[in-house]
Amino acid sequence: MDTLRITTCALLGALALTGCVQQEEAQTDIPNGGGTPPGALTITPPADMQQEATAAMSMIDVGQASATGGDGAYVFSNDAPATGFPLGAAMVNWIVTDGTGAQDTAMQSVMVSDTTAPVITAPPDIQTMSTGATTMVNIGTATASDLVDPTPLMSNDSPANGFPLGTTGVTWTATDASGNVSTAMQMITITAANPGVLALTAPGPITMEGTGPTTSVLLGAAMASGGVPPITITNDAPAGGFPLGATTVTWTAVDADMTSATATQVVTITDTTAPSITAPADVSAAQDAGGGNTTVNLGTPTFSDLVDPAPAVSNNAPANGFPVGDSTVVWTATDASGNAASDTQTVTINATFAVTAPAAITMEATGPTTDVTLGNATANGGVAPVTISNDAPAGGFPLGDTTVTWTAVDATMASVTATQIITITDTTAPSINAPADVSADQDAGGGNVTVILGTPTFSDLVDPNPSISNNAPAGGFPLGITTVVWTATDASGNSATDTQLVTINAFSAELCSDMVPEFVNTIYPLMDSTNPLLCSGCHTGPAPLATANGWGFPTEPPDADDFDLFRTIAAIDGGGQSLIIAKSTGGLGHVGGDRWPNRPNDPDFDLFEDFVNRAAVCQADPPVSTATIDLGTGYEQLHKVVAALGSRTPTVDEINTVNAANNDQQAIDAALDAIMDGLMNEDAFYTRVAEMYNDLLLTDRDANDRGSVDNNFDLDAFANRDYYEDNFSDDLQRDLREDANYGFAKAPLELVKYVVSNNRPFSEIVSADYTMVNPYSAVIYGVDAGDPSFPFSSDNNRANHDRDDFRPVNDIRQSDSTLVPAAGIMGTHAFLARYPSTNTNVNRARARYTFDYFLGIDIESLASRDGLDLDNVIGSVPTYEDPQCTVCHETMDPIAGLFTNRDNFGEYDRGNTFQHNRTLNGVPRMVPAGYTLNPADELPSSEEDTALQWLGGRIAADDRFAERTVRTVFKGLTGIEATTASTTAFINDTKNRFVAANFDFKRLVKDVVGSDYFLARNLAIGEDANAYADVGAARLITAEELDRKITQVTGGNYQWRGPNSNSGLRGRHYLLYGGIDSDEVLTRTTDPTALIDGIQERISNQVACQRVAADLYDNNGTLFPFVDETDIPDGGAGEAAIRQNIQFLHRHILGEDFALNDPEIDNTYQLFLDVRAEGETNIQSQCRGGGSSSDTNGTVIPWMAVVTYLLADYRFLYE
Amino acid sequence: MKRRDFMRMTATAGGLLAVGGTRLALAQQAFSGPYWLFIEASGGWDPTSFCDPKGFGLGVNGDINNYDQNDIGQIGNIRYAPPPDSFVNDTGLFKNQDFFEAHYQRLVVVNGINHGTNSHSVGRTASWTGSRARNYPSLGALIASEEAGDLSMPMVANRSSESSKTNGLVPRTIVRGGDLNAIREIAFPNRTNVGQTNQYHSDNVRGLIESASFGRRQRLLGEQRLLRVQSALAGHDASRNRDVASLADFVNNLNNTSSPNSYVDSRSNARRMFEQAQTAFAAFEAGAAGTAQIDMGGFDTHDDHDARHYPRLMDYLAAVDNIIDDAMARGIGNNLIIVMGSDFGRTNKYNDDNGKDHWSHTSMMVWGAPAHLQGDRVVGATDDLQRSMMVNPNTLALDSNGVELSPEYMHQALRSLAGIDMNPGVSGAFPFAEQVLPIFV
Repeated sequence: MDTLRITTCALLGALALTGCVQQEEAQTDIPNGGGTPPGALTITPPADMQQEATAAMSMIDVGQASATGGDGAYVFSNDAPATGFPLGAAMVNWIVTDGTGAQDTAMQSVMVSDTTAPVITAPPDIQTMSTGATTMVNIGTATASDLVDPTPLMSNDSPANGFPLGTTGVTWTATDASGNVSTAMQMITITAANPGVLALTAPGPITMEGTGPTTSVLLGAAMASGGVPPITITNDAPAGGFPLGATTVTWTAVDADMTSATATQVVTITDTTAPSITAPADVSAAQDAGGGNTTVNLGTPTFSDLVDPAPAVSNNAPANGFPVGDSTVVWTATDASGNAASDTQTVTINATFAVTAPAAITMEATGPTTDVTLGNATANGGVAPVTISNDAPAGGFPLGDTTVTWTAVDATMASVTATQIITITDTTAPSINAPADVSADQDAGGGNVTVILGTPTFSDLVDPNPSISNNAPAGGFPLGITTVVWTATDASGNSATDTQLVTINAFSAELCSDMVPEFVNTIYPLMDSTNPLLCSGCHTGPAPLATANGWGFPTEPPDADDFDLFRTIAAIDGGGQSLIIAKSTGGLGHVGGDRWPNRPNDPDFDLFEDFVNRAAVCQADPPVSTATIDLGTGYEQLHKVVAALGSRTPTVDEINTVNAANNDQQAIDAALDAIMDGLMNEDAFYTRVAEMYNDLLLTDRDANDRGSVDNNFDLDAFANRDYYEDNFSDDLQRDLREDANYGFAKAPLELVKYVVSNNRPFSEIVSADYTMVNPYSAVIYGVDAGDPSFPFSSDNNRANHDRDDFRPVNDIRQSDSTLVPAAGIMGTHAFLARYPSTNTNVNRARARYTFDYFLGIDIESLASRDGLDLDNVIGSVPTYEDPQCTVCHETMDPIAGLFTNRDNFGEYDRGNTFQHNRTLNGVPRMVPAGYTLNPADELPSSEEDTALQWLGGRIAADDRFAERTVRTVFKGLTGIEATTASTTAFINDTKNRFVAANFDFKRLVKDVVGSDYFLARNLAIGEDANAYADVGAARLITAEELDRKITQVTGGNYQWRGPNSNSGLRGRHYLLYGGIDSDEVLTRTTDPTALIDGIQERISNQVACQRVAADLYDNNGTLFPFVDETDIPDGGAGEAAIRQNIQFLHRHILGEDFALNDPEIDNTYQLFLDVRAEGETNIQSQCRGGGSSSDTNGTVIPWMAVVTYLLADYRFLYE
Repeated sequence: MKRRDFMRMTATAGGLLAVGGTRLALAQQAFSGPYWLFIEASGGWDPTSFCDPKGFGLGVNGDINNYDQNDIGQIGNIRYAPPPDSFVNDTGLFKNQDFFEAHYQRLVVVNGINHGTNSHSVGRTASWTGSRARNYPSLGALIASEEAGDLSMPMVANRSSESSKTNGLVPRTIVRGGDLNAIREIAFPNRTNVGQTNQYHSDNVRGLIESASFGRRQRLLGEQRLLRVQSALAGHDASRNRDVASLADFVNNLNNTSSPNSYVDSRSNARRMFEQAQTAFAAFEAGAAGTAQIDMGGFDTHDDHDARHYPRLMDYLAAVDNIIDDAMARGIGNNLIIVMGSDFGRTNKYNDDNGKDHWSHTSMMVWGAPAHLQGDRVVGATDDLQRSMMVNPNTLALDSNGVELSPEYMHQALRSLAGIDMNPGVSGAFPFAEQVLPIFV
């Protein structure tokens, strides 16, 4: 009300100034008493205040403001609350008004605080008797008051579960709203109730089997009640344990008043346990010399009993000795409680002098007769010396059972015999190699063609003459490719087959130019102008005779132009036959009549007629002249083939085989064909095939990543996944994990190797119903092969389980016994994990790679069409609805659907169709699973659990799979991308043969390696190079191939740091050379880089250093069969030897088959001479090969230069 | 048909002659730059998250991004996206603002390029070759071939991919991990051991071997008439003639790499990309390489887009930022052009998994000194549904009667920037019908 009051006063002041001034005098000041002009009116409020509260609303004197300046009397007012200030901060607004009515204002802060605690009074103390262990007590309520807070908060700390015996203080606490606290104490005393009479209960009786002469027994606890605590309980149980029988234990309780109580417990010890006894060791003895029973020292048994220290022991040995043969002696031990046990001992009495033959043997034949190691017979008794012999056949055993009689003869010439049965079986099939594939042309009239198939090569271990048959059609071969199956069957009924392809080409007329020589040399003489009886008698000279149909005899000798005219006329119809035949046989009014009167027995006419008919249909020449592709010599071709398939140089046998072909290309082809059969049984070939397929599949990415198994196997599905994490040392765990991962990651490539090495149809790489596992992945897959070495077993020894021992299994089951259906490569964990899916990708990536790798269709490239309008896609699921999208997705999505049973990381999840059955706004996300969108290609419902297997079967039957395979092999071996018409035709032809041969991969390899694309070395001079732009395998070999080649060719190896370290090409130089890591570097470098060049140069320097001196000093060295370090260029024998070795090195290292006088040999020899002329003698320490540090003959350093020169050559690095 | 005749019937020269011819006609003049660094964001980046911002209320479902349009930033002429809401309070992450404010003056942003595909491999091919066809080389290979063909490693790359395909024009050298000892061994092939000066052959003997090898190569080339073999022989010969000494310098440079800044060092993706750039710079400075392709993967975010894509993008930009700073510190920044791109863009909406799928419209960014290009420019645009808008081919102003930016236009302009667009080996062998747009004026 201050404000109202002062404001009212100010108003009154205007009306009744005097009264107001008097009333407010204390608040008024006169600032300008003199003549000085007044300053600005300024109010100064009283100082800010802080005050302790006295009540909820505290009455506070806020003080008085002052002012300066202005004019006239001051009137002050403020807005302090009349009812007092609450707790907390408040602001008071002061106003001053001077005589002129001017005003100024200012603020004053007033803070009211509460630090005064409440006043508390506790309830009265309480004493009461206990009602149990603790006693609940009603303790009443305390009272409290506070200046500000009318209801301070009250609490106490009495125990929630009641009070214990004795006195407990309870603290009462009062807390006001400002957090001020005060306390008061209340004391609660609990006194004890009256205890009962002391009583004791013993534990129950115990019966227990004796464990020794005395037995320790756990008695349990006696229970006391009543009495005055504390109570002590004891018993009188015997200290050393209880004896057999019943013993009474007395329990005693004593309380604080020394009152006691007792109770008893009976403990009974029984003995029903038999003693243990082990009979003495078996005994054998020779029969007593006099015959009859033999007395034997049996020995002493061992025995014991838990309770009885000395049980009775007896045996039933016959009193009068043992008879011949085995007798059983029963030993018995009986303890004091009558428990008994027994054991037996065998006593063998051997009769005097006998012979025992070795066990019977069954063995597979190794030839017509088979050597068998019989073992040794043993003789007993007899008078020494005893000799043993047998009647085994000297030349080995024939097929079937043979009885061998063993005879022992002693010194008295007494003899005994025994027999042994030897059984020789023959379950080995013969081997057969079908004759080389043949092709022939149909006759002009079509129809089947009779072909000479050739003779297969065959052999059998046992049967020198297995029967040979084939299924060639009796009536000749039809157009196209026919597979002839050759079968060899031995006398034991074992058989083997091999196939030969017979290709019948449609009739293709001869080239006209090819007929010219025959015309000139054979046919023309039949019409000889010198013989007037023949055609030339009339058809010469001027028209009309000579020019009938424009034909006159030429000026001799005849040439190609004359033949052209002849064939033109031959093609003219002369009434169903050639005009020439019609006329020359007297038809069509031939003035000369019949010029072949001796028909039909005139061989000249037959020749003539055949020629005329052929000439009538011959084909004009192609536009270019005869092609000449230079394949090199037989050796050069051999070197190339062996390098490509075997990563090595040819053997002497192989060289001899090719040399025998004597430069006849057909014979060379046949020889190479046979050599390739051998090469494709070597490990290097399979290594190469696996590398070639990894270049496609890239599944090796995970082969050395220990974490892949963890990442890609679900522990729920394969509970064995972490089997290595228990029970093994850390090192072994790490190794086992790597091995398991290796087994998992290599499965696709091992499948390829398995299919090829076992001559199975290559289509099994997509359709196989088995999976390749190694001993370590087999554990995870729960495979049990029943073989101690497979899978990895409890011997914990990795040395016994080869991680490269891959085997096919078709019974992989998840932990819940679900069979995981195999499906070739696509069904392997490795493939699925290498190409994982996501919830939105829905297996499309897998479908994409399936198309690419197995059908040769790059779906992604289809999306490169111009003019896509992706801004205006149709439908809520464009992949299902928009033609721009469906054009690819219709192809891709059905196959993606076939992966539906596999989760995003590859686990088999039978019946998982969630992702594929999703819809959006009622529109399906995906088309039905199938091979194509065609309803006829939809996945049958019966195959839903085995969708990938079904897919594998479809792909295997798809022509595109065969083509994809051919292209992979063609590119892999030649480096050529087949894009031209001619390479495409080659691919197509090879594919047809591949399919006809039931996907015979080795045959496919032979087709490619045997082709000109691979073998071509050069082109004849004058040929049109552009016409052969797709010919010639000029492929930079891979790091892996080069690494093998260095070792095979030189016997050395390329090291990146020093001896015994890893190969540089497999290690740190691998990627720099252009290798792939199957992860981010996916394609091999095909063009040499400076790094590759540097690597080759280092290889050439290092390997020459490593091998040259060592080989020169070694008579069996690889590189120098014709020289040693003492051969010097002396113009005589030394020079000849050096030149011969240079020739050898060109052949061996580069595959170049030069004559000794070839300029290239001269050039290399000149390098030798030039380096020698430098006169250097100090051989680097690494390059001495165990020899001298000084090149005293001046040959080591020159040879190092020559080998370096050759290893740095193009031909060493390129296929 | 006779066995040895069947091949010649339909064979044609095809591209082989061109390949062989080009290889044999490698540029012989010394290479002095500019160096080209191509930085690939592999998997398909989302331009609306950095250089082509959109925000709430746009896109097909009204939620093209999880940020407000009002929060879009701008520096110079370049607008850039704010962090998505879920990252607003993440003060530890690099930001668009950091990148664009530091580099806008040398940066050309090209928005609204339609790659016309949603296939990764085709997108990569388009992005880095300018053509969706499969027979065009990457720009890096093309420039290396035309300008730096006789260097020891004309083009270096971090991995094999469509983004660095060469079509046989020049060898592509994959350098990963930068194993110094291995490269040093290659750089000094006549030394018996790393770090020692002992030689397998004396210099005199080595010279005799070289001389003999040279003669041999010339003879083989002279005698060979099969084009494929001829081409391989020529390639081998070219590799032997390359400047191995520059490899030694390359090795020395690799010994002296820069350290990434602490932020990049703490982000493994960014650090790896920075290290790739170190390899490229070491090769540039050694005179061993002219162009380089480096990359960062992980942009194919079909689910949980913001959480996965945005930090990856910031790693990418942080690394580029650091790479640029390093180039400037090394003194090659003014002789360097950086091209940033990706397979394609990402959709104008989030899918059911909060991811973004493939979208053919995308952006590229090119960074370079004023001597090469005029920075602080944005060319092209996308509409509210993130679709490319037409531009006037002469003024580059938005013009509904203009042309749609495409990889072909982009690369035609880049070729022009490189000064190779008129070279016969480029315009003749790998032509584009599109005119050169003044993107880099």
